[in-house]
Amino acid sequence: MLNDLLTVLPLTIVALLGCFVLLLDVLSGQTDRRYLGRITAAGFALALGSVYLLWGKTSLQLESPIFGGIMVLGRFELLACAVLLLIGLFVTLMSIDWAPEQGVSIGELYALVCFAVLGMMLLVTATHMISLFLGLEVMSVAIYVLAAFKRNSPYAAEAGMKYFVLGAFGTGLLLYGMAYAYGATGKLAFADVAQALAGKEPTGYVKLAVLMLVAAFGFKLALVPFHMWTPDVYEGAPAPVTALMAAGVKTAAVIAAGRVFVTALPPSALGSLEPTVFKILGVLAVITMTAGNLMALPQRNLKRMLAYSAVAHAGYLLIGLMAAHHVAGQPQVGDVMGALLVYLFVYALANLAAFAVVSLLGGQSQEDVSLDHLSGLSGRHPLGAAVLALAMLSLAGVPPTAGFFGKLTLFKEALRADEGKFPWLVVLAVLNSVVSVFYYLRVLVHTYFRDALRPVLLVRGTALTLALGLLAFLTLQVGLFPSRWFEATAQAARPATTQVSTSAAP
Amino acid sequence: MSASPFAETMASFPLLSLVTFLPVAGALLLLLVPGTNERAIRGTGLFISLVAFIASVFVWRRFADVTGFQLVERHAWIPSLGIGYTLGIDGISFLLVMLTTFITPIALLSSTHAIEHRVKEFTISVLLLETAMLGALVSLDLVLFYVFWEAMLIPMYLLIGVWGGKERIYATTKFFLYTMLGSVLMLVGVLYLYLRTNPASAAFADVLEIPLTRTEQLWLFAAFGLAFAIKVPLFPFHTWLPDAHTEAPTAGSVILAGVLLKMGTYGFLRFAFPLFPEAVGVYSVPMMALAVIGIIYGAMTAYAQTDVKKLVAYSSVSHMGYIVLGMFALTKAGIEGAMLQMLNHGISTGALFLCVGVLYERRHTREISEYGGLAKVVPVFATIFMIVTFSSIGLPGTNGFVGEFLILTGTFEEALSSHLDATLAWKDFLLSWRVVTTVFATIATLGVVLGAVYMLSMFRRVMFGEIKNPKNLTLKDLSPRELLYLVPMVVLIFLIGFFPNVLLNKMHRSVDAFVDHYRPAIVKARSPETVAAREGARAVEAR
Repeated sequence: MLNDLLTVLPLTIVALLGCFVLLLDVLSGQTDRRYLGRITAAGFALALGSVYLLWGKTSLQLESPIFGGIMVLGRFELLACAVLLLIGLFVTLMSIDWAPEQGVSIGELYALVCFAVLGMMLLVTATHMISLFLGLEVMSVAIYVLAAFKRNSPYAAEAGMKYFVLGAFGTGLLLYGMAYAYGATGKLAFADVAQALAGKEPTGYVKLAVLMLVAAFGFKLALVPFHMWTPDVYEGAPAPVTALMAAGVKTAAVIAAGRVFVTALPPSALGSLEPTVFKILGVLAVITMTAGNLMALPQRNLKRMLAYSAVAHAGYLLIGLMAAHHVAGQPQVGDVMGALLVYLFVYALANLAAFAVVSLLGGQSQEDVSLDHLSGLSGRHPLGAAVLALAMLSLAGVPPTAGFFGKLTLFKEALRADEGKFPWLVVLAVLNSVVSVFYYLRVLVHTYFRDALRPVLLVRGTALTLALGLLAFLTLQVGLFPSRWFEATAQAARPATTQVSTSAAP
Repeated sequence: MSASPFAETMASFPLLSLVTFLPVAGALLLLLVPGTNERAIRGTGLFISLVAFIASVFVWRRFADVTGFQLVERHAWIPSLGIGYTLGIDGISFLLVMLTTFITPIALLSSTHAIEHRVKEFTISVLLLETAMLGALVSLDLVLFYVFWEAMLIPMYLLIGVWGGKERIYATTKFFLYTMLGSVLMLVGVLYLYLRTNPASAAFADVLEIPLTRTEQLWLFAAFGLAFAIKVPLFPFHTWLPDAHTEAPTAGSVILAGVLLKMGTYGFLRFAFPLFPEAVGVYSVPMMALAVIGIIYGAMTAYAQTDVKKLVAYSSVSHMGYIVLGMFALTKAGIEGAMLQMLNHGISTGALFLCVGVLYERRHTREISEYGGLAKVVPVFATIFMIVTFSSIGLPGTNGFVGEFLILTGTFEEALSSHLDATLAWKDFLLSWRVVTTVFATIATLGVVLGAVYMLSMFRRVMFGEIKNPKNLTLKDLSPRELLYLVPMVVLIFLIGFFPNVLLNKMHRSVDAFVDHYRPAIVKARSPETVAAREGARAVEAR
C-alpha cells in the first residue's frame, strides 16, 4: 500500500495543489490573483520534480499494477504525466498575465487547471474501465467550466455549451461501450477483458462495444465525422484553455485510447472482427487528415485554423494508434506507444507555443485573432513572432524543429508495423502534411512579410515572456538534440512491453 | 563488381564540422550586435563567411588523393535510433563545398545596397542557409542529410519572402510547397531504407549494404528522384524556379542558382545512383529525355523573355539539363563533365545574376527594352558582362566550354559506334540504348547553339545599339565594391577555362571508382538486349 501511495505522488501533489489554490483564493482577500498563478506554476514544477524522483527510484515496483490493478504508473506513464504536467505549467504561465487583461481575475481558473491535469493523469494511468471513466470525467468537467470561463462573452458561453453537450454525448457513448464490454465478458480490468475475449468469436455485444468505444474516442480526439465541435469550441474558449484542450486533452485521450485498443481490445480479442475494425480505423484516419487539412485551408481565424489543424493531426495520430493496435502483444508495442508519446509531446509544445502567442495578442479583452492581427508582428514583438514561426514549422514537421522528429518516429513505427496498408497510409499522411504547409506558412507570411494593418494590443508580462522563451528553446532543443527524449521513451518502452505480456498471462 | 568506392578515412581534426558550423556561430554572434548598427552587422557577416571560406581552403589542402570518403567524423546523435552525426567528403562533394563557401561572401558583399531594411535578419538568414547547404553536402547519414536538406528551405523562404520583389509571397510559397512535396516522399523512402537495416541505422555506409529488389529500387528511386528532380529542376518540375529567381533579391538568386540547384544533381550522384543502380538503368532513357527537353525548352523560353532575370532563370533550366544528361550517360567523361558543369553553372549563372543585380540597382527595372547601348556608358561593366555571357554560352577559353564539352563527349561515348549490332531487328534497333543516346546527344549539341542565340541576343539588346533611353546616359560604371565581387568570378571563369585539370584531378579518383563500381549494374539494367547479345556472341566465340 505504501508503495502504491508513494507511486502516485505526482497525482497527489496536483490534487492537493488544486485544493490549496481554491482555499487560498477564498481565504485571502487580495483582489490581484496573479500570486495564485505563481503558486500553481510552482506546484506544477514540484510535481515535475517528483516525477523525476520516481523515475530514478528502482526500489519502488514501478511497473506493477497499483490499487488492486485499477491503474499503473510505470516509466511510460511517468513520462506521459511529465508531458501533462509540463502542459499544465505552461498553461498556468500564459494565464497569469493574460487573465487580468481579459477581466477574468478569478482564482478558480488555476484550481480548475489543476483538476483538469489531474484528470488527464488519471486517464493515462488507467488500466481499468472505472478508473478510465473517473479520469475522463474529472478532466472533462473541469474543462467544460474552463471553456465557459469568460462568463460575459457570448462566444465562451457557446463554446462551453457545445463542448458540454457533445462531450457528455461522447462520454455516454463511452459508458455504453464499457457496459457492453462488461456484459460480454463480466470483466472491467483491461487485461481481463482481453483475456475473456481471446479466441472466441465476437458476439453482437462485443461488436457494439467496439463501435461505441471507437465513436467515443472519435469525439474526444476530434476525428472526422465527430469533429464538429472542435472549431467553435477552440474559437470560443479562452486562449490558455484552448491550449489545455489542444495539448492536454489530446495527449491524455490518445494514450488512453491506445491503452484500450492495445490491452483491452487487441487483435487477438477481436477475432474475425479485426479486419473490419482495421478498415474502419484506416478510413477514419484518411478522411480525418484529409478533411482536417482541406478545411483548415480557408480559415482566417488563427484559433479556427489551429482547430482544423488539430483535426488533421488527430488523423496522423490515428495511424500511430492503428500501428499500436496492430502489434499489440508483441514487444514492438512499447516502441509504438513511445513514438506516439514523442509525437504528442512535440505537438503539445507547438500548440502551447501557438496559443501562447494568441494569448499574447489578447490585450484588453480582445478575442478574435485573425491573420490580419498577426501582420507585422515580427516588428512589434520579435520573440512572439519567432515563437509562432517555430510553432508553425514544427506543426508542419520541418526540421530543425521538434515536429520533424515527431513525424519521423511516428511514421517509422507505422511502417515498421509491417502490414500492407501502412505504407499507403504513411504516404497519404506525408502528402497531407504538404497541404498543411500551405496554411501554416500563411501565418509566417503575415507575421514576417506583411506590415501591420491595425493596432493590436499586446499582453505584456514576465510570465508570458518566460513561457514563450521556454517554448522556443524546447522546440529547437528537441529538434536539434533529440537523443535525450528518445532515450527516455526507449527506457520507458522496455518495461511497458513486459507489462503487456505479463498482464496477458493468466 | 569492384571494391566499394566508399571507403572511409577518419579525420584527425573536426575540420568539416568547423566549416559547416562557423556560419551558425556567426549568426549567433550577430544576435548580440544591435540591429541599428548596420555597418557592424554587414562587416561581421562578411567576416564570418570569409573565415568559413578560409577554413574550406584548409579542406582543399588536406584533401588527399584517395578513394572514398575522407575527413570523416563520426559521433552519436540519436544513439537509441541508430541515427548518427557522420560527416565526410569525397571528390563529388568536395568542390561543391568550396563553391558554397566561395559564393556566400560574394552574395553578402553584393547586397550592401540592395538590402536596406532588416539587415540583421538578412545576414543571419544567409549564414544559416550556408550552414544548411554545407551540412547537406557533407553529411553521410540519411536522416542528418534530410534535416539539413529541409532546413535549407526556411532561410531561403525568408530571403525571398522578406526581401523579394512584388510577387514575392506567391513565389516563395510556391518554392516551399514544391520542394516540400518532393522531400516528404523522400522521407518515406529514407524511413523505408532505415527500417531495412539491422541493427537500425541511417548511416549511408549501412544503407548501401541493403540488398534491394528491382521493384523496391524502382519505387525508392521514384521517391528520391522526385525530390532531386524538383530541386534541379528537371522539366516539367521547373515551374517554381523562374518565379523564385525573379522575385528573390540578388543575393538570394545567386545562392539559389549557385548552390541550391546543385543539391538536386548532387543528390542524384550521392544517393540515387549508388543506392538504386538498377532503377537508374531503367529510368535512364526517360530521365535523359526530360533533360534534353529541358535543354531545348529552357533555351526557347529564355529567348522569349523580356525580363533579363527571367531569361537567366530559364537559361538555368537549360543548363541544368546538360548536367543531368551527363550524369545519366554514366561514363567517366560524362560524370566529370556534369560535376564540373555544376561548379561552372554556379559561377557563371551566379555572376549573371550579379550583373543583373548591378543593372537593377541602377535603373530599378529588368526589362530588356529599357536598356540598349550601355557599352558606351559603362565599358568596364560591359566587358565583365560579356565575359560572363561567353562563359554561360560555353565559348572555348571559358569554364563553360570544358564542362559542356566533357558532357557531350561523355554522352556520345554511349552513342552509336562503328560496331553496329546487326543481330537486332529494326524496331529494337531504333529503340536501343545506343540509337536513343545518339539522338539525345545530337539534340543537346544543337541546344548549345540555341544557348548562344538567346544569350547573345540579350547581350546585344542591352549593351549595343543606340542609346534610346536618356536615363541610360548617366549610368555609373562599376564601383570598387562591385569590382571586388565580380572580378573573382571572372578570374575563376578563365582559370577553370584554361586549367580545368586543377579541379578535374580532384574528382578523378572518386569518379573512376564510382563508374567502375556501378556502371556494370546500370548498363545491364538499361540495355538488357545489348548485354544479352554481347554475351551470346561471346558464348559463340568461346565455342
